[in-house]
Amino acid sequence: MIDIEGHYEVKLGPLPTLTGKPTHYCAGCEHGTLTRLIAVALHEMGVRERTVLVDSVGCSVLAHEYLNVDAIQSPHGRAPAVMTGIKRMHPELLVFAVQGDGDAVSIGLSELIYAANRGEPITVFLVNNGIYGMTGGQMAPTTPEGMVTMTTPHGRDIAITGAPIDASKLLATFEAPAYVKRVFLPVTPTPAPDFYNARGSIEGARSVKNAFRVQEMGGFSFVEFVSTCNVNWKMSILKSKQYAAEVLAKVFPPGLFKDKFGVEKR
Amino acid sequence: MASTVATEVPKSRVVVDAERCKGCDLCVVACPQQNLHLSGALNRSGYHPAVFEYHGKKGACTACGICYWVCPDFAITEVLRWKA
Repeated sequence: MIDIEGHYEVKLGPLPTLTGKPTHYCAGCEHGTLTRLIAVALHEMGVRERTVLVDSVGCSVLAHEYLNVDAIQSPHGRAPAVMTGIKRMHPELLVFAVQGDGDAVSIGLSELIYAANRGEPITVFLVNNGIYGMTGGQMAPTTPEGMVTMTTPHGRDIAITGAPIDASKLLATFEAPAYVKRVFLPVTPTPAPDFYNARGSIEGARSVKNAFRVQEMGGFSFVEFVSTCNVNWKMSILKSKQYAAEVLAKVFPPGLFKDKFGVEKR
Repeated sequence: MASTVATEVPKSRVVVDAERCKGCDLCVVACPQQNLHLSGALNRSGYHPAVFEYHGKKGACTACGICYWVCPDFAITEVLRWKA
């Protein structure tokens, strides 16, 4: 038996920015994928020691359990306001929040808009799965038309509840935000059977890093990740990825809405 | 009697932490070479964890790392490559 152990190099390995705790997320949830992307970006930029994570309310609330960074818990939807305070007192810190669509687009939309309009050098990651995940699948402002949720059992009727709110497009209308982007994070079905491409994760990794770089350059950065919630959509994991590609990607088409500093080209 | 079985040295390796895996199937469907499949056995949490094999349905593992990027539970702990 030849010893082959020493002949391997680690291409991708464990990260010091992750605590190593098992996640509480449901199987196949994009929250975990995003946590990994953030961990990789923080590790590659070497900024773990001066990073502060602001917890929002929702499934993202336990992100501090997995990311090995300092964290503070904000009231529901008020993460951008808390981040503003931290950043103004300690401009040398890297401050970011992971928010859900119920947190950022519903209850905390005002805080998000005003922080963006002031151009605060903070980073907001929005995980948009079109539903309230943690509370049991109620309709969110981002629920696409016709989607069946707990509170819209006959499908969302936009004549009664209004059309889905497009947070990225909304923030891109302001002058101050420096980086506004939307990424389709789940694996995408391909014509080949049983094969899904993972372009979303790779694109997401680049976007997370760019968002942090924009913050270091002094601009407001916002990345929206179109995601799935197979448990509350009442679908299998792969069916939910397909639904996201067919329905959610049409309502929220991925794209770069604003790039003031041109980080995407570099 | 010493058997002379020529064993090939795998050029790359993927380490799966079976206890962390929730059997979500994402690495299985995202692997371009289809080198991962779900195990028939259960882990401590009651999920069928993903299992890596070097020679998959389409070819050998290329250490592209796509499984590492799509795994939501950090169960793909390491992607190793043979040093040239």
